[in-house]
Amino acid sequence: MGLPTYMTELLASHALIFSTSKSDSIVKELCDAQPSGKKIDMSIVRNFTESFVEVPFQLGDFPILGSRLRYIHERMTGWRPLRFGQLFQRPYRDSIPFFAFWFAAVIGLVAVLSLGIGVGQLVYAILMYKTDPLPIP
Amino acid sequence: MAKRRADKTVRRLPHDHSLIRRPLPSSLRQDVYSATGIKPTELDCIEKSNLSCSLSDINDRDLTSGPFCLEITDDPRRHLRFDDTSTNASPTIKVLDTQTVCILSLLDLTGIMEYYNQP
Repeated sequence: MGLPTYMTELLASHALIFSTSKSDSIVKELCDAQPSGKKIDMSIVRNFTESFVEVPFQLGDFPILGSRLRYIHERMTGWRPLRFGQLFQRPYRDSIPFFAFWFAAVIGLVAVLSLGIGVGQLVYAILMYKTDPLPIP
Repeated sequence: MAKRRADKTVRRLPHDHSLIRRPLPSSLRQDVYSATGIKPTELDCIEKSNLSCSLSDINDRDLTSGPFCLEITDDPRRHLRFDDTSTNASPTIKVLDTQTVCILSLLDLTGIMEYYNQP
């Protein structure tokens, strides 16, 4: 067993990942974040995509790198927030619990605020009654 | 006492460090695998698995809009792998840079990749 598709798979993995309309800006950010000058040449990626990619990639197109892509896919699918800071990040799959949580949080916040305002109104009314009770007709 | 303290300060080199001599002589096949950053077991597991996995959501826009980050690397072993040693709090996926891809392409263009077919 050799590695006859290695070069194709490397270029195809770039074509797979950097295939969106935002790729240019994302690649620029990635390159700017690299102090060592490592970069990704989008012209090569685009040239490969136009020349060789006709149908969307499947896992079977990557006999060598497929296990890595499958692991990324599994991690994306199985990601769940474990810390408080991660609650603000929308998961890749099953976004309904994310939006349900924040909807419930907003409703809960409004309920707590209304409770606080109600308590404040009650205290204010009691204080006003004690200082200046209304005359009973 | 001083010797014991000196022993504690000696760092252990990783098992795949180039200064560590291998117990068995390396073959061309092992050297090619090492240069390309591929474990032989990676090639086996993909053949045994089902290939019905869509890759449409593995792209830079979806990845960076979620909890994962992308980072460029020049180490073929880390290409499309998560970097657990990163200081970044988010899980980081490494992507090989274009220059290294071109260097590794020489292995393919010279026919080395197809040359050896014997285990």
